[in-house]
Amino acid sequence: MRTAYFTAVSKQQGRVSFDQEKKEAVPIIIALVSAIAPHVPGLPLWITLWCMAMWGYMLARFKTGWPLPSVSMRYLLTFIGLAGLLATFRQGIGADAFVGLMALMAAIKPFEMHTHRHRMITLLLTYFIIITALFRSDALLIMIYMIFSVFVTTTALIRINAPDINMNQCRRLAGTILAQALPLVVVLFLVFPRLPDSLFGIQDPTAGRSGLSNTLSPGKISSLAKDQTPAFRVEFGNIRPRSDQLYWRAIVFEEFDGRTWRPSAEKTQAAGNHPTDEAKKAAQSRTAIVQTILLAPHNTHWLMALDRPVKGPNWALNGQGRTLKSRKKVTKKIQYEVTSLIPGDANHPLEPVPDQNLAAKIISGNGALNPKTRKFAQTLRQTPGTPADKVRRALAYFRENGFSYTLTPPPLGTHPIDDFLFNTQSGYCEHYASALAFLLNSAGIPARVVGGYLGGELNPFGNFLTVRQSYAHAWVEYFDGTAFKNTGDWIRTDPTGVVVPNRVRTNPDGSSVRIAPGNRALPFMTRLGFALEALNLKWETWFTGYSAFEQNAWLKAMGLIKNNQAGGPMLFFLTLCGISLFAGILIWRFKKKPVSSDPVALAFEQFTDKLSRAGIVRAPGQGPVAFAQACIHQRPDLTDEIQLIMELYIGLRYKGSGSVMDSDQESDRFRVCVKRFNPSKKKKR
Amino acid sequence: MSQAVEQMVEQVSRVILGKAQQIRLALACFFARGHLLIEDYPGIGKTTLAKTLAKCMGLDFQRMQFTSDLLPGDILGVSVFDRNTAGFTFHPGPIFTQVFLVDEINRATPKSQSALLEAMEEGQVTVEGESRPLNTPFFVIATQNPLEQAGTFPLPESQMDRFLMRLSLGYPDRRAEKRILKGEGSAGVIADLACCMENTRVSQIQDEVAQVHASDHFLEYLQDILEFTRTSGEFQLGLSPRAGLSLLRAAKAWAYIMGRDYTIPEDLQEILPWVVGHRLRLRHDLGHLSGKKLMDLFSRVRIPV
Repeated sequence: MRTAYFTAVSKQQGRVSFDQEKKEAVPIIIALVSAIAPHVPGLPLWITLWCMAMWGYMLARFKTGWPLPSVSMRYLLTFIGLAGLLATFRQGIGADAFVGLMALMAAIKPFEMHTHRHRMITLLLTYFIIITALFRSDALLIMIYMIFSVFVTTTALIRINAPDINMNQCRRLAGTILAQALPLVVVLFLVFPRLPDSLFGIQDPTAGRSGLSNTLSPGKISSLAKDQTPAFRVEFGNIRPRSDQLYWRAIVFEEFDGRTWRPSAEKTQAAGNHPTDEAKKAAQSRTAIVQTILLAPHNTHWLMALDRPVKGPNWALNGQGRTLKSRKKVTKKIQYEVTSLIPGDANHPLEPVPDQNLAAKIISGNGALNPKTRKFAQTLRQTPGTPADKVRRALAYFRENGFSYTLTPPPLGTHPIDDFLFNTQSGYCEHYASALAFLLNSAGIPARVVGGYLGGELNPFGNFLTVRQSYAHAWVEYFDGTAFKNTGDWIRTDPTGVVVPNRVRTNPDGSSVRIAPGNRALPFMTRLGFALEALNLKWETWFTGYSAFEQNAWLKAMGLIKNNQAGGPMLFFLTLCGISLFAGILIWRFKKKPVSSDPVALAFEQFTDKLSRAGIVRAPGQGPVAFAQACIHQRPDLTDEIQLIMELYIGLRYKGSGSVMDSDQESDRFRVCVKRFNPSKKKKR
Repeated sequence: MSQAVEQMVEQVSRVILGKAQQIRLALACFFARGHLLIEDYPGIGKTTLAKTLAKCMGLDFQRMQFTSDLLPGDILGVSVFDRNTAGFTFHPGPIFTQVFLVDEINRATPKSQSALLEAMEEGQVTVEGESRPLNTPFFVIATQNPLEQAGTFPLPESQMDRFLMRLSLGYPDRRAEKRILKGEGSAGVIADLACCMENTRVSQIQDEVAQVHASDHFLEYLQDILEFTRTSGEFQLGLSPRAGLSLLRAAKAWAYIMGRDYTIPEDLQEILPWVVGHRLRLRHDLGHLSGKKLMDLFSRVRIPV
């Protein structure tokens, strides 16, 4: 009789819970979709399809009533997904693989959302997935989208925790919560300690590309000729260079084995402390050009700067041949300030100490390669005149012999320079630069190849230059001992410019907007693109630029830390204290107050708490019998205990005083039963 | 579940197939001394339900079709001059019965409607200055057709309040309908029905229902629900204290039907949509207030632990 009393309406119960499931699962799936969406361009197609299939099944289920996949089916799906993931990311497990894994898991998670606990876990995971969008980009649009995703997820979170309020109220509440969180976000952004490394220490081996490589041999640069992604962006101070001066210095190659150029062995020193007094003077001269550069990650050490940098950021190193290097590989966006002097504008040498052995080293290092070029160099060596005259003569050779510029040059033989100079006579900047440098060295003039970028696209809205990967370039510097009253200096010469003068004046992609006043006749879409790019740069300089360094400066300005203090640990401690204090206040403020001092009510709360930890949550409007039925339905092993407890409860609360002998005694019994009740263990029946 | 009641439900279910829940609700309405309004289409079984209930409880039954030319006297009765006694004798109208089925109540004029509703409320009829008590128990089942609105006088809200519950039977499910088509629930069955209880027993039950215990905790919950209708802003007008009393009576009757002598929150939840459905109107939606919508709204009210 007792069992019948409690299990009468279980059929109806099932139907209601299906509706309930739909009500809660749909917002969760929407939140998941919004979290995964920004990853779709980067995810392998099959993972996207996989997600769509799983979520589609789940949504269709509410119409068709299809069953949920069984446990073994779920295991199988997980296994297939993992196998596919491993097969796709054979080469290396990076951020992409990590996001792929999250997407796979998020796809099948809705199949096991039958308890409140699982739904909560899913939503917390969703927040996590939203953060991972930062792996892809921190552009302004992505940030705005992420806020939208957080809003959608918070709405779902409210939905599953307060099923009795409608969707519009959920949205309004989510909006309010986000608005309230905004001041906290600003404070945390300002004071939360910057992590010196990337999030979770995950370094993506494929993160960041560069138009440049560590070695220079034909074929390397042309492969990136069509890559239009920005390599870096530059904002100038009060002085801007002319449009034919946009040589961006990155690497200097001083060693050549006849086929490949390499940078010479490391000789670095801190860039902040300047090597020479001349350079110091140069940095203060009126013609010094100050640039702020926002560099995209390229996974190497080089820092680009307008040729020729004289003062870099404090944290940078001076590489060989007056280049700037970062101490660590650039794996995330960084921003820095550089001062440069245009070589022709300076009235004193910028790098007067030549490597006198350079020419000898380069020629002796290559054995018997390129004999024809050496012979040609001998005639050049015997020509009277300054090194500048000899260079002019060498360049004349390129001009007068019908050399042509092409990005798809014919292959070169065993003596590549010979082949190029006397045979194919067509190639691109690398061919010209390496041939000229080799020729000059063979003629006794120390020369080296400089790799970097040439050009830049002026954004008329933001007044900054965008330098794209396709602008990669290589040119030559030779040492002229007679320059600057025989102090000597490295002089830049660009053989490509001799063959195709246009390359020096325009960007390789045909966008001629270099340093020129904004052209109002631009097509609308181009202008829109420029405007978006300008907006994004403002955002990125502000957001990415706020590094540990700026943070320290800001805190010093606020008087929060002393001058010579490294803010990190102290700040971390302070933030931690602040957050825990804030959380403590919140917990104290919103602590579930005991409904009354009534022992029965307290014991009943205890009972529902125990059950909710076991995954059975009582809705506020659920009556005692309906609640008991729901509990028994989910935990048939606890039938006896639940029935006893609920009968005592109903007796105490709703039966007339006549039918309960001694209410104190009954209430004691009820409390004891609740105390002994333990739903965490599963009993066998 | 109370055995006598269950027996009765079973009897009635032999005629009204597949509608056990509605039969129970109708019985609860009756046991709570309330009157029932059935809003449904023609041919669903309203009359049969009323007749069967009357028969099972061994009560008198009268049926009346309301029309627009109906006069109050047609319902209550008239005094006619009798030559033999040289005086007026009262000829009681159809209302002097125990189960009174009023078909299409909204077709009569307001004057006739209020004559009936006053009689229902006061339990007596006053004709030509003389009050005449109605029979006890007295149970009115009124029907109205929700579709045809032309030429009708819809009951004003204050009059709707006189009915304890508003039910709709709805179409039978497929299985029940097949049984109907096979002739299982035909009128002939009514004649065969055994009378389940003596007619004095019904009054007894009504007294017992009034004795069902409603604890303080239960009353708190009921008050919370009344409070919710008044302050949540979802409804145009909150429930009146009279509606609160109706809820309590109906909940007690439901508890009795479920075989308990005390009420629990589930009793209230079970009868809630049928008791308040015709008394409330949503603030933002003038359409029909469905039982499911109501339950969704009221599930927000926390049950005191």
